[in-house]
Amino acid sequence: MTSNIAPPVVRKLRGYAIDPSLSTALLTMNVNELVYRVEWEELDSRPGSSQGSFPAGEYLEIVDYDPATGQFYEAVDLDHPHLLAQDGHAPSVSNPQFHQQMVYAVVMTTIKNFEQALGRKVQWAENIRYSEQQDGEERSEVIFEFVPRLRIYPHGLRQANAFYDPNKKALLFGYFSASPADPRLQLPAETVFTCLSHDIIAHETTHALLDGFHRRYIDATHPDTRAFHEAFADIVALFQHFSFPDVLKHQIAQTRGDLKQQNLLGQLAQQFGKAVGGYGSLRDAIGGYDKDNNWRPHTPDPKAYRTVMDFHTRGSILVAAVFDAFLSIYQHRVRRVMRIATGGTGLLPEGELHPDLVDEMAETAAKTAGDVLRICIRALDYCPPMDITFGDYLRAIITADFDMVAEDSRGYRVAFVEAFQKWGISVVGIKSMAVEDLLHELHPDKLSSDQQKQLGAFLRKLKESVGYLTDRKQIYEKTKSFIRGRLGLHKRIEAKFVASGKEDNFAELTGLMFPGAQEATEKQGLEFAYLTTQTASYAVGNVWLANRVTPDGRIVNHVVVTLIQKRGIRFDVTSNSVTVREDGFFVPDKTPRHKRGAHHIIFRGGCTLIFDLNTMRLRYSIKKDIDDRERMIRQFKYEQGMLGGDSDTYFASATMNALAGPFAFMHSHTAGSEAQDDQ
Amino acid sequence: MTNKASVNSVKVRMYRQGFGDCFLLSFYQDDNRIFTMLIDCGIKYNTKSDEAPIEKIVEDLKQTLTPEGETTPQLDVLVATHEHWDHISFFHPTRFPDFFADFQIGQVWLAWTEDPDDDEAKQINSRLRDGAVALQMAASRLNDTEGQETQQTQGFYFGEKVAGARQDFNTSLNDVLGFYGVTSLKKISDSGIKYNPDGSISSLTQQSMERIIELGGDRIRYFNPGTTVDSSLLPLGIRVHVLGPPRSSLINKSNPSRGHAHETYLSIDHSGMTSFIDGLFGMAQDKGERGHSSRGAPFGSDVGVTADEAASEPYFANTYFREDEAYRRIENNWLDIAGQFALQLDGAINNTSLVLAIELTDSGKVLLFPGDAQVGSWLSWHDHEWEVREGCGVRKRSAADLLNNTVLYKVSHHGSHNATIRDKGLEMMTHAELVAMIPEKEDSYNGILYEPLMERLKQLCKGRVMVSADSNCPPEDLMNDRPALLSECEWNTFKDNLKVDRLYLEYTVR
Repeated sequence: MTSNIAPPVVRKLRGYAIDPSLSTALLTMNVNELVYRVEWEELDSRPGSSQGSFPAGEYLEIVDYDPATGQFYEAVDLDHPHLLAQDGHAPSVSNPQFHQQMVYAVVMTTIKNFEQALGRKVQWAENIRYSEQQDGEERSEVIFEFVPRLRIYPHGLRQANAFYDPNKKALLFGYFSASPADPRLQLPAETVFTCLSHDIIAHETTHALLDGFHRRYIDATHPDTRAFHEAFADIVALFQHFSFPDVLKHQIAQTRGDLKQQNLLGQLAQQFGKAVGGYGSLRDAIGGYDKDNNWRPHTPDPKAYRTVMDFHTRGSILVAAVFDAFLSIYQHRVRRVMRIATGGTGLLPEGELHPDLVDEMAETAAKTAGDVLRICIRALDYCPPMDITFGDYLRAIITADFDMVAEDSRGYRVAFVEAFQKWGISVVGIKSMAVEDLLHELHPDKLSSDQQKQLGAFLRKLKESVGYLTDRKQIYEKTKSFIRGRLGLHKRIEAKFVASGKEDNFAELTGLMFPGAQEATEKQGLEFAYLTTQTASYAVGNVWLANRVTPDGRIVNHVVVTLIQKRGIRFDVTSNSVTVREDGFFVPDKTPRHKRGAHHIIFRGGCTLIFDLNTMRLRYSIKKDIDDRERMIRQFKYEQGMLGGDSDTYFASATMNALAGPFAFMHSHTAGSEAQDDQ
Repeated sequence: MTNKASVNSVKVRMYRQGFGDCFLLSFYQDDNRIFTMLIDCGIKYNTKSDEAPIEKIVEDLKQTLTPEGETTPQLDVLVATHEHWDHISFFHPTRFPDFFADFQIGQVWLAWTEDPDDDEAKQINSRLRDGAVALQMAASRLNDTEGQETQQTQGFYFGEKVAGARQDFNTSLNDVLGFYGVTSLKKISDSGIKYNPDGSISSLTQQSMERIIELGGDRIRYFNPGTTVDSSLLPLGIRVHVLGPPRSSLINKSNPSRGHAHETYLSIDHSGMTSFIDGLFGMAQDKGERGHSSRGAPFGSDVGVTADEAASEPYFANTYFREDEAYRRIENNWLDIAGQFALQLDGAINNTSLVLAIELTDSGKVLLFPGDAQVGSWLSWHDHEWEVREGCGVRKRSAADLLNNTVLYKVSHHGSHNATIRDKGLEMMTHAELVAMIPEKEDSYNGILYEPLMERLKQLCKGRVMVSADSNCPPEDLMNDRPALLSECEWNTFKDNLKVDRLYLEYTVR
């Protein structure tokens, strides 16, 4: 027996580096294939076979069903000895098993990038069901269920579209006959498969992952929220793509003269999105072709963030800002390589670049892309649990990076701030756009050191029992058990902070409200004593461990906790819709729709608390105040379309969102094809 | 008509049959009617009006058009703008066989897109009809499986929302389908399509249009954009300029740099939709129904197994077919794009509208009848110039000239958000006497009337906006209360020119 041989570290799988529909274009010819190195995992084994497997592992299951033809395509056996020996199926448009392999490779790569950046296992969004209502119960109980695997349908749609369905916890990829504007790019009537595009797969996987972290980000409460979901997914796809050095080499070698202007990376970024129309749109922010067919980066329009409300264009602002930051970091880093290569002059000699130089530059670009990717992902832990704005995200990026790299010797943080400023992204409630002012307040002093120690002791226990688990379901269940129950975190917070007579401090720290007795609480639109609480009810949303090793060898040992409250708010609107003011509250779960009033919203507030287990101190509180009047009115106006944006016609966007989630029609080739005007 | 008579006023009668167009234009020299034109006669599918029933309206048309001392109604020109039920339903050969049977019709005017000998038109029409039928298949399948979906999502927090949304979606889809009159096809197959003996597929609107062509006989004229109707067909004193529908080739040629990727004219977006249509036809065929050949399958025919076979394979049995995970099935997700497709198709057909600008020669005043033309059509108007003879010379009229001189605007597409463009359209209608007529009924469609458009119309027309059948905008208000922007004198003139009847609103352009 050979059972004492250790399993391999990675599973090598061949795949397309770029959408195969682009591989016919000369420009990208030699880079259309690469080998994905996916962390090894045992897949579900085939019954009656000692070796074979199904494409179903720890995080996902690929079900290749095509409802338009009614066909099921055979599941790929990635553990077939022949495939193991040759890095999987060869890339092929006409082999559905290769399609499954490609999707598997990219989804797993994306997941692993997240886990690496965050220092913990990722979880999918939970299923939420109602129990059967029992006699005498006021309402049925809400049941949260662990979702072990993301379901993936590589051929689930017949359209130039792919999306994450938050109801089904599934990714659906479409295919279609291509006829792009520029016929040179594709052979006519070729079938294009969205499941063969690295960017699309990574983008949709990111939607699913983000939904797993922050369930409330799906709610469109601010012009930025949906735009953020889109932009973030695009950022992950883009920088993950750039983190493969092979992808960049060809371009760097070919456009040597352009390096100073740094156009090629932007151009490449945009090209990735070209084959599948809808996906290019976000990237259009970075640049475009002028009338002589030369690619030029766009000049940032600092007014756009204030004036453009539709989420596609807004999202592109964030992508462009992050891309700008990436470029200036890369520029800074590559300068050294250039100086070494040119004996200090920085002027490249005539002729082709030395292949070593190309390699070095590509490595530098790829490393920088990897850094930016991790920075952007890690920032998620520092975001408020709802109603995110681009400004919140910038602060999260800066603060997260500060915790990782205390001294900004490479100027990453400055690069981000400058880029965001250049694109006009403003941050509410800070003194200036200086890095120091963007950092969240360290060690907010609203809790006594005793309180902090008690909380810390509890969280350490949690860390001890959850931190070493590797099974995601166990992690989920165990964490839940620490939140709930008589001695759980939820109850504890209430006992130590809310009922301690110091609830004002706690409320100020967390952005929650605890108005006292039942009547006073309900008057404020907050539910009283639901489930375990004896006060205004609140929910513990997430409890995450963040275990990271910093570049200078320190160990970050944080626990991230989110707290959330909700209330119903009525508004008084003057007949000409000019003035809006808050006009009383209602308890959402106890007020049927017809009693909520003509103008109302469900409003959420709360915070993300980051606790440092090394120092036993609360490090940050990142809050969205539940009593913030300005935010209430803004959300109401946004939901009413009073801030501009997309207007509803036959198919109200609310209808479409409810059917398959808000992502279903975002990238669709035809989405928003009802043009308003050309002006 | 006599050659010497010259038109100096036009009475525009907008009938109030409900959501749909029916306009009778009577051209006068002083008190003598010398020419008549009927533009469209239709109503939203499956609706009728109690206040202004269509029988009474047709009766009124007959009476009005029958000259004194004669017995048959005489109409100089019948215009059918485009193939939508709310514009041409009352010409249907079997549903309303009597309505126009005894009319003496001088000429029938249609857009080039209806010309059976025009190759571009043939291509467009077959694509549009295929699309309409495919949509209907999608709609009927979604209707049939509504319950199944509800069951699968029951108990989930999103379940109720999904069920409600599905109902709204299906209603909207059926609404749009009503434009083609295909919802009524007898269900003789699982996918709900009626096939003609020769295997072709037809819809009610197509049948209506065929009847109109029959009524026209050899007196049909098909019009191209950028042309002016031959003066021999018209009385003195008016010119009729044709603004749309545009030729798609022309659009592409004249606007290379514009890049309106989003509202490409007459195009069913191929990359998005061809595979979808193919999929539907393929589905019909797989069920053993007559239909198109199976197209668009992504892999060879030997790749893949059927659902029945898959259900007995352990992997699929354990994933897709697991009962407790039924909520994750995706049988119908691919059909949800039918909503967008419907809008696209609808817009494409709206853009085949014959767009006429009727100009009074002496005053230069223009009456604009755009049918349901949408953005793409409006933009194309500006690619043309119309030559008019003036005295011994020739002058050119641009679209801007015509819009500047528009005094009566029949609001396109019942006042929706995407059929009246702003800068190159409405904002150019600056004439002090501008009035607007909107044939529309309340609560017919989401988004009609489009509030911001209505607001702007009211400003530009100083309140003189006449709506045919919307109880929220009763025409009596215009007679009883002076709109704030209108002077006392203007209001009096307006009231003199407006006649409010139970069956119609009639406004006179002088």
